[in-house]
Amino acid sequence: MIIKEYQVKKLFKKEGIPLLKGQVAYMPHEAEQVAEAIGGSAWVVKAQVSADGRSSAHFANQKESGPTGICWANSPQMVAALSEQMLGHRLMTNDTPDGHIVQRVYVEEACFGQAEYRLSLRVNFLTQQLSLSVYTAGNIMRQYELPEYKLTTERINTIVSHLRLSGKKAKEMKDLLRHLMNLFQQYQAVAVEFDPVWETEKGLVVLDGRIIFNDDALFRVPELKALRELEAGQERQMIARRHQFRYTKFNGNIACLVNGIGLSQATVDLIHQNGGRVACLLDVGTEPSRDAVARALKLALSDPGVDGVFVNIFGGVTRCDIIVQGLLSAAGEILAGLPIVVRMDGTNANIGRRLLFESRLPFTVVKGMGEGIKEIIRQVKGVS
Amino acid sequence: MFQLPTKMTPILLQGITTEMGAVHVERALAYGGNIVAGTSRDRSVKLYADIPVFGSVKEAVRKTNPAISVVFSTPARALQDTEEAIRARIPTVICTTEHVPLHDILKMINLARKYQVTLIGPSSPGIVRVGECLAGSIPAHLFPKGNIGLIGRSSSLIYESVQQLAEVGLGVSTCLSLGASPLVGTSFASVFDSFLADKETRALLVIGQLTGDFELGLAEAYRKSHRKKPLVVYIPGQTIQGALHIPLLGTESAIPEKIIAEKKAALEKAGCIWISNATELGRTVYNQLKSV
Repeated sequence: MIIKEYQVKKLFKKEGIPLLKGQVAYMPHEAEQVAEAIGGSAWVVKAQVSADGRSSAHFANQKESGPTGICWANSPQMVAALSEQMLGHRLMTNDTPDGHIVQRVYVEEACFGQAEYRLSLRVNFLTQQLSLSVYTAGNIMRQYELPEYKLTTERINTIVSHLRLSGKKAKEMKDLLRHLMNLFQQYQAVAVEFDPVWETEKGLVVLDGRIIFNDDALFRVPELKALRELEAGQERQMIARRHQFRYTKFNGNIACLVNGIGLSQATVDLIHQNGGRVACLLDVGTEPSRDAVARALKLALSDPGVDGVFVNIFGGVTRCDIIVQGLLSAAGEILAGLPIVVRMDGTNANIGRRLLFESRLPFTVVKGMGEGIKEIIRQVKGVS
Repeated sequence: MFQLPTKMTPILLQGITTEMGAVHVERALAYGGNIVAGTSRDRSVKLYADIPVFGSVKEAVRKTNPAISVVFSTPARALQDTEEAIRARIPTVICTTEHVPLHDILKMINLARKYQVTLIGPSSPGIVRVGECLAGSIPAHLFPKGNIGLIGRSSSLIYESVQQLAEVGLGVSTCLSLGASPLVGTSFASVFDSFLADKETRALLVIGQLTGDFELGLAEAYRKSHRKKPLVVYIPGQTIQGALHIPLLGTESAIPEKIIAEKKAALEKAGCIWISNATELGRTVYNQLKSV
């Protein structure tokens, strides 16, 4: 789970991290009032979306010369005008082809100083350890592995001496490093970053940052669930989460309902390699309930972009008969007429296939994954 | 060093009375492995399906000295249960639990390194020595016996490969899943030697994963190995484009296409066979064996 800047800053503020003055706004006039309340002579207006690269991203409805996701303003009226151009519009960031609709802006006092550091503490999936990266001006990086899952005083002193800091600045850096580790442990994060940290007349200030949460650890920090917002265009992901399956969106027209991540990705590969295009991947995992399977199928069939569904199940702990019971309980939607091709092997596959046959619903049951891929691609061509 | 289990390898089941544990007991007993003990939080259970049940791993180890422990637990308790087995120095600990919090996995991995225990998983369906023993939740009854060593990260895609092997008349000697979780305790390279040494294994099929760099370590181990057995590798997710899984990959420059290209190059350079089509797993292994 990734949250937005204004939410991250709330958590940073609670931790006592030095930040600039700022506040979230939902309407242009509100943004103007925020700017006036903050005071000063310049402000920054920042589109609140959960994506990186906002300062170089443009809005879908505007020219290249128009505003980007982060803009400078030198009057409260300009803050309002920029907010007007952002709110309700689609910011085209690189992470998704659809971009993100901006529902809020964050208005912050402008900062005069220099970008100095970037601190990043994350689970490193390559080394299978915790690693801390410290970037200095010019994007020079030094990486520290933390196998003990701790950031000791000794380690902090080493980092600060590598940065050649002393006096007040050294103390501020030590505090920032401790805050970084506190946040990481407290929220069981995948990554916490202070990016960038600026040197200002008031000392080191964190201008922006991100926290990536581990979905599997959210039960330990229930207060984070409240930060999960319903975003325009993200409704399907929300439904999937609620019913405990994984939903990944692609750009094509074939929905794939599969058990397990390995088989899921192999299925996506095969569809692409055979000239098909995947609309979405519904990974129901190892031990799905009937309800999860039913919800997943309904989600696929209710998507206007989907022209057909390929169900690819290899049962181990997963029981094929349970999968079929789930599929059949979405029967009302199945009658809507989109092709559904089912491949099913492994635990209780014979019972599953028999149940499908007896239902007299228009499933196409195939033998093997390769045949299933060819069949769904053929049937979908007939639809569109 | 990790060793492949045999019919005689004593196995402990932690959480024998849990739902998953019960499914396993049924499968493993039907399969014929040497299950010597179980543990349960329910102190009133002393015997389960004729297997002695203990209140703690320590006690089970003292009385039965298992070589493998299979942990059946919940995401919230998996760390605690796995730690118990690691601290009792059981040589191989298999954590089957899915959705274990990442911080807990980090702690498990660190502890296993400290105690020099082979941690398989989390999120691993386990190991099967076909025809001899089953440690985990793999549907071993579907596996025909043969000469192919199978190492993977997932579960359902492993079963798919077994079916494809069966279709070309091949069977499996030993199958091991390291676990589907983005962080796991053991790499391909650290179990590779045991498959090389195994007389029943004539060729290896490895099902990799986008995340991590285990395939690079495997390429290196294969390059260095004296005895060569054909090694065929498939990694799912080869056509996934863009930044879809970036948070999972952990580094900013980690783009799926680049990772796949790097792994493919390293493996091919080391002499491994790369598969790009997931329906040709069985056929490719068959052709490699024929050409030896």
